[in-house]
Amino acid sequence: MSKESELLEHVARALVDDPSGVVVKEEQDGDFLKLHLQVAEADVGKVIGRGGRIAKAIRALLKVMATRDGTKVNLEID
Amino acid sequence: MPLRGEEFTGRTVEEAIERGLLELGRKRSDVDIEILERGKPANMLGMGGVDARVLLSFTEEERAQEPEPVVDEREVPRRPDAVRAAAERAADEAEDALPAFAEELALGLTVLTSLLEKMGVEADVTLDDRPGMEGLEVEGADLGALIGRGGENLVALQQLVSAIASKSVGRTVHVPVDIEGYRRRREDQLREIAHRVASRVKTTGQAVTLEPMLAYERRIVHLAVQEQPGIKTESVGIDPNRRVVISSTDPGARGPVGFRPSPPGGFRDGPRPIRPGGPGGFPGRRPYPPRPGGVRPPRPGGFGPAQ
Repeated sequence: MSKESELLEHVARALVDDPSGVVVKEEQDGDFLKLHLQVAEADVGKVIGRGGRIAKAIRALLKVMATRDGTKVNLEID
Repeated sequence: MPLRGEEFTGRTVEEAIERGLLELGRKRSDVDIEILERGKPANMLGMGGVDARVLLSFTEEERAQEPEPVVDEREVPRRPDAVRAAAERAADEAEDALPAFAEELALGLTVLTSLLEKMGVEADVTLDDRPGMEGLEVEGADLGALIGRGGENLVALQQLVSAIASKSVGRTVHVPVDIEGYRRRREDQLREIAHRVASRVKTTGQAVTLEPMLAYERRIVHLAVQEQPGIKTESVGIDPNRRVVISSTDPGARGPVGFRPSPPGGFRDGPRPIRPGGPGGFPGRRPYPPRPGGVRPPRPGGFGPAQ
């Protein structure tokens, strides 16, 4: 599992009511890393945040990590 | 009531406890803490330390009785436009604010430390609990990328730390985070700009539009001059081009000039209305005001190139 996935899982688990419902999947395509985050239905709002703030913040940190490694990262919340 | 216990580790007992509470999503008062191993700090080379271990036990039933955290607005999806109109200014000025207390700062420290560790960022995090200066300070080499352009990643980091800490204590807390003193310097600079521009606005009556800023930056500007009589501030435009306008409350004051809000798609507010003789203004517009000295004297040789 990539460092990015680990961070995502760590953050998501800390934000939700039901940490066991957190599932992170990743697809690596060359330099491009695509992350899929699944959480319990009741927790979706918590990882997105008001006006998408939290999702935006998570993406920002993922991007910091990816940029450092010269790769690209994309996060989708399913 | 079924009793459950889970073991957690950390570099210190405190860290292990915080980590456990975070993982379990419980408050300190809800669990029974048993210290299994006090732990030993590592030596200078980061070797030889022993992790602290704690056992957190709790009754399964408590989960159900646990008061639901007040339904947080961030869970309620709202139309962006409606939010804008109603809550923009509040958001500018209040950014989830509730001052962080010592305990929340300590929790924030743990949260931030583990976040940075997961990100693979090598940095030291220290806690400042001096009154008025409360916050966490990140120091290390090469933290420019973590600060981000205009501090945007720093803001993201702080939002996540605050959100995770809020989740853990069950109410909204605000944990200020700074990296290499960036925020402190930027805030000083913003206050300086705000005061300088405000005094210019006061003397000239001419409103001034500042450069685009992040929400928290605009908030600093609003707060910096809100006490000044004769000055008002408001935010105009759409993120990421939202700007603060500092204007005079003087009746004869003029609006901002030189500001062209140019979001893709053209002007949002339409052309600026012409004031038909506003309060204190002159009654209507005259295309050419009369020259104080009377009629312009004819130029010798007339117009056109010299002969």
